[in-house]
Amino acid sequence: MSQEVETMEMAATETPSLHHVGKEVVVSIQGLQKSFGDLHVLKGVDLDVHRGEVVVVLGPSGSGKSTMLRCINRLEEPTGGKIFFEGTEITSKETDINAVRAKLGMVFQSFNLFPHLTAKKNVMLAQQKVLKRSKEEAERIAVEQLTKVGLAERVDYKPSQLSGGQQQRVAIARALAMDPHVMLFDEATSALDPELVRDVLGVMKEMAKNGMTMIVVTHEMGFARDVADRVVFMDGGVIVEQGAPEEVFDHPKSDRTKDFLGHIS
Amino acid sequence: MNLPTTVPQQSRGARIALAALAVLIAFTCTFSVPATALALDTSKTTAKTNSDSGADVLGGKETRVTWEGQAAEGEELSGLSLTFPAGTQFGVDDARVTLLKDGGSERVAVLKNAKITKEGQTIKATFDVSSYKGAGDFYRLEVYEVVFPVAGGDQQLTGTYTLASGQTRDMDIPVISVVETTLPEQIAGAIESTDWYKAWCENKFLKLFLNPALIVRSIPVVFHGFLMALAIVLCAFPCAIPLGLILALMRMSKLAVLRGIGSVYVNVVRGTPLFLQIYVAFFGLPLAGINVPNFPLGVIVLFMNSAAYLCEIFRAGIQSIPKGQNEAARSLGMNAAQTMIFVIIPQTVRRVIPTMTSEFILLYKDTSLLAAVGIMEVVQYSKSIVASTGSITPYIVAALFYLVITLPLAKFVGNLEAKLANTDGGSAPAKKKRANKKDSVVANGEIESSVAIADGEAAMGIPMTQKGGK
Repeated sequence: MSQEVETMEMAATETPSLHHVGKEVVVSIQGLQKSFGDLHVLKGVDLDVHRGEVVVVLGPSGSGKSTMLRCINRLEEPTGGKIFFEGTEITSKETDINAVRAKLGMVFQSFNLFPHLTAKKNVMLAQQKVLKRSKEEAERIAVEQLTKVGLAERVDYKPSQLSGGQQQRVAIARALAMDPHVMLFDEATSALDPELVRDVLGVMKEMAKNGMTMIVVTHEMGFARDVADRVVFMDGGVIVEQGAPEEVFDHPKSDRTKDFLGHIS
Repeated sequence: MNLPTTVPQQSRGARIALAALAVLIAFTCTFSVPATALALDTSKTTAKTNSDSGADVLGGKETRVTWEGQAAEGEELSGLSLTFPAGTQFGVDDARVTLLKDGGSERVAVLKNAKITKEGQTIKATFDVSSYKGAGDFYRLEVYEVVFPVAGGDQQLTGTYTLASGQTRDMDIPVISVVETTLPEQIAGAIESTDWYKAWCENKFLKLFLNPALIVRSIPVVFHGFLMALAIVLCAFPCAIPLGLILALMRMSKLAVLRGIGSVYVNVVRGTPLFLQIYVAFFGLPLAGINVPNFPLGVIVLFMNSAAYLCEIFRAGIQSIPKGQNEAARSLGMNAAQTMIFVIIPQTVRRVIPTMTSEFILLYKDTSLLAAVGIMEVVQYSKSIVASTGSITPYIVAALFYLVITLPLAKFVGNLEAKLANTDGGSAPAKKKRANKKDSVVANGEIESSVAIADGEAAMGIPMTQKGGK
């Protein structure tokens, strides 16, 4: 806990908040519903995310925030509502979901690197197979991206030879190599040791600064306060409250938000 | 028994030559040397067969050489000699000369007074038949403890005979064909001549199950079956892998039809004995007018059977890959096929190699079932030796030919499993290993059941050659 506080304070002093947020809505979620059998996880979620915006989604476990994120690239099939990506309804059956997914980078809690491939090949694979880039180009971009996340020395390492934080940074490089329009982070730092969290958050902050549109599901309050343009608080399958970080953190309107933030800090 | 056919021909030729010579003699009054050649005809010179097959004379192994000759009317012999080629050994202690009559069909006497000596490579016998005057005119010389060179080849013996008058003449002797003694035969022979072998064989159990000489003799024969079994399994297994993979993908398909077909195939094949499947294929197809040669048919039956087991191995392997791998690949925009080919299957291969190797071991052992339809593999070869020797030892040799493959592979599987358990890094959760464990337990169960099938087959004594004779 003290580690987290420290990170939070450090972050607060390091980076200036707020990025250039465009008017264009990139991702639009409208009345999203998702049930797993009898379990009603999402009960009508509406959310618009603008170009360049960093939206941090907070909420207790089981509030549906990860499910919402996974619906955006249809790793989970929504059971109701619509999702638009750059004007295309991705919940429609006619949409080539693979083409959409290539523009929606995703980073997972459990990294999900391909363990049989080196870091470089992890980053190259989808470039070659999906974007049909040549091997040389894919390799060049892979090395470039891995260098950006601070892993220039580790390009030929297998995931099992890398620390958790390094693995997660490879996963970020893998997603970035596809030139995504939006990045989705699903509790990207939850599986990491506290001292490794900082490296990953650093990379994420850098991305935000460079204008990447990001939807971040996290428990990192420091990151939310510091980097988010907007904080969304979810509970019980709905969005309870949203707004600028200082609004939500310092003057929460909802009792459930107050309760949650009280427990966290 | 089977007289060299060249001898009568030679004598016929000789007679024609003599007739011509007789005319010549009348005119030229030359010496009558050719005429005296009639004094003795070599009827045969043979060596007793000493091979297991009962057909060959082997080098490097004791045999008996028998020379027989027909003396001309009124002629008596007083001596015989046979010279063996260099490198041939022989003994004189048991050698004997026998006097016979009527072309050798009736024995007059064994010449006890014969004096037999050895001079270098020549055995000499001198005797006196005056006491049997007129009783016999057919002579037999038997030489024991003859050992021809190991390398074999045609052995040309030479010999002389001495007439009662004291004249000594050369005789014509046909060659004796000696077959090279193979190394195993030499070793077996050497073993058989030892005292400990005799002591060993006094124990009925040891003689029946572990006859060392028979082990040595069986190895080169059963080796042919070993090559056949390897050929079958090395053809069948590589075919089974793609079919097994296709079946596994069918069973995991979204399409109910494909799932249904895959599941029926796998359940029927795994739910019935391979032995029965072999019978259906080998006896059913010919009846239906489809004639496939034995070897490809055996390969087909085995690979189709193995594919069903591999299907389940692959399916378990694919399903053991964490869901996150699929999600990560799909989230990057890869389609289902790309994900399967580039992400899931390469990881599955590592995980299924141990169980696949176990399946290979099973398949290799299952080639023995093909003996039932006459395919000449390990069991079938050993069975043929068992039939001719009445010893179980060749089956023990067969067992060795299975173990020589299965034991190293089992060790390999063990090592690989240990290695996998250590390096199962990346993002794989510990959950997965359990599935694998369970799988290999199933595989062990199958090993035992297939052994039982093989035993049952041997005990049933089904007409094994029915198909092979075709």
